[in-house]
Order: sequence, then structure tokens, then C-alpha cells
Amino acid sequence: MPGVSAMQDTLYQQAAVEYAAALERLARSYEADPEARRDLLQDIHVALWRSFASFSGLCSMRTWVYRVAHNTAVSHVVRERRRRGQIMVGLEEIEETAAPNSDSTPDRAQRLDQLLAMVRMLKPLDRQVILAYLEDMEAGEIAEITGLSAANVATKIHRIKNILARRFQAEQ
Amino acid sequence: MNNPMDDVKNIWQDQPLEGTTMSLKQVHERIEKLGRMVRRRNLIGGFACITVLLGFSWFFVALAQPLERIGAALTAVGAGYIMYQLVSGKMKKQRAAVELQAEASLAFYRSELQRQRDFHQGMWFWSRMVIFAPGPFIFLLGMAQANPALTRQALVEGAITAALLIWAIPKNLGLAKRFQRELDSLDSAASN
Repeated sequence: MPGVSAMQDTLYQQAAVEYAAALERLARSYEADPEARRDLLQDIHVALWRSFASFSGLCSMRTWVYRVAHNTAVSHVVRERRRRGQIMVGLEEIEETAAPNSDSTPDRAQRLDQLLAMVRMLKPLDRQVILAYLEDMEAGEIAEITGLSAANVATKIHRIKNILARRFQAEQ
Repeated sequence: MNNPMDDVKNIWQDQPLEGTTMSLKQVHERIEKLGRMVRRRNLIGGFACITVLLGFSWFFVALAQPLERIGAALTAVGAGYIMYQLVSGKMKKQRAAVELQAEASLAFYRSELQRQRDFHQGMWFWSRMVIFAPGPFIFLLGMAQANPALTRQALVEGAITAALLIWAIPKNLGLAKRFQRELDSLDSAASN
């Protein structure tokens, strides 16, 4: 059907431009290895293009893009974790662990590295919530992306703020 | 005064990026590349499957000892069944990836974990064991009966096969348990 295909192409191009940076940040938070990250990002773009064949506009394009991107990244994490034997933790466990001690004040790049390292340790659902929070999304939209209840998202955001405050605010 | 959380968000949002994006042409090229990779993998898998099937079918036709022939036929059937499970599992995964790709992440992640868990327990796992396990033993028994000089070799091969099959039970059930634990922790995270 040429109509659907043309619409699919248009939607994809629109999303690829509008969310290029956000998708790259998302891929960075799921994969540390540059080569594997490039593959993951390409897989996300392919999944997005495919998904637009069935985009009905029932949710916003932003919600759609993040759902598809996160789901592709989750499949990647599940596959890679079996290979690498990586251990992931929940927000609660991160909250209970002490912030890493450092004698010197970390610069912006170091703080970004610390943030990335922490995000990459998280279980997929918690990782999605923190990423959406860092991307400035509201609790309602995060709930729509993750499928968690708004109350649950609010609790998680509260935890995230605590963690970020303890780990990053104190270092300013 | 700046909100300290805004500062962390700024660090996140202003991080240096490579500026990677994909044009439609690149997306189509990637799809073609992925298609080629899948075809190559299927070809290798199919070749291995056909080699095992042909090998044991040949044993079935060429050998005279009834137990060897039954064992060869059962091993061929067992290998075919394992291949069928791997292929249908992969197809199920691909279908789910398309159908659920825009679902809320919780539903998607749950289905991914359930699929992995089910592969390692219940009907999927035990049917693999029951259908595959008898063939090699019957074949080796037949081999020892037909050629008593090979009894020692048959015993060693039988012991290795038994050890591998026994090892596969706790290994698979352990993996299934791990996926179940993750499902439980996902449900508890979703209900907190």
C-alpha cells in the first residue's frame, strides 16, 4: 500500500530528526561499547521505521518513539546480559548504597560518566523511569511509556531525586 | 537559585553526542543487511540440522542391527524436534517484537522474560528431553550388541551423553528460576 508506506516514511523522518539526540542518549545509557552502541542505535531506527506502519496516533509521537526505543533496547539488554553475565540492580538498592567518595570535585565530564555508570547498572524498568525523568518528562507521560501506574512512577521519581541529590548535588 | 535537579538534567541533556541519525536509505540498507544475516544464520542452522538428520537417516538405512536402527531414527527425530523448537521460538520472538514493539515497556519486558523462562521449563524443556534422550542410548546399545569389541567405546559415549543430559536439567531449571525471579521482581516493582 503506497499510502501507508509514504506515511510511514514521513513519520519516521520526522521522528528521526526530532528525537535523534534523545535516541542517542538512550542508546548510550543501554550500551557502553561504542561499536555495539552504534548497532543498537541502528536497530532502534529500524524498529521505529517498522513501527510507524501501525502508528494510529492514539498516543503522542514522543510516547510512541520512547516505547519502541526502550523496548528495542530492553531486548538488547536481555540478550547481552546472558552473554556478559552483567548484574543489574533496582533503584532501592542504589538508594541504599553510599555515594562513591571522591577527594577531588569531579568536573562535568566526570559527573556525566558517573551518571551514565549508575544508569547502566539499573534494571530496565527503573532505567526507563530515570531516563525519562532526565529527559524532562512528566510522571503521566512516563507512566504511559512504561505501563507503570502514575503513583508508582511518582514514588520512583522521588527515589531518583534522592539518589541524584546524594550522589551529584553534594559534589557541586 | 538554580534547581539542583536541573543541573543534573543539564549534564544529561547537554552531553556531547556523535550526532548519529539514519536516513531512510540507511534504514532500508540496514533492513537488507539484517535480512542477509538472518538468512545466513538460518542457512547454517538448516545445514547443521540436515547433516544430523541425513547422518542418522543413513545409519537407519545402512545398519542392520534393529536397536541401532531404532536409535538412529529416534536421534534424527530428536534433533529435528530441537531444531523445530529453536526455529519456532525465534519466530515467536520476531512476531512478539513486531506486535509488542510499541506496547508499554512493562508488558514488553514481561513477555520477553516469560518467553525465555518457558523455553527452559515445562512442556518446552521436558518434551525436548523426552524426545531426544532415548535415541543416542538405544543407538549405543545397538552398537555394542552388533560389535561387542566396541562395548567399551559405547559405554564411554553413553556416560558422556548421560552426564550432559543430567547437567542440562539443573542448568535449564536454574535459568527458568532466574527468569521467574526477574518476573517476580518486575511485578513487585510495578506494584510498589
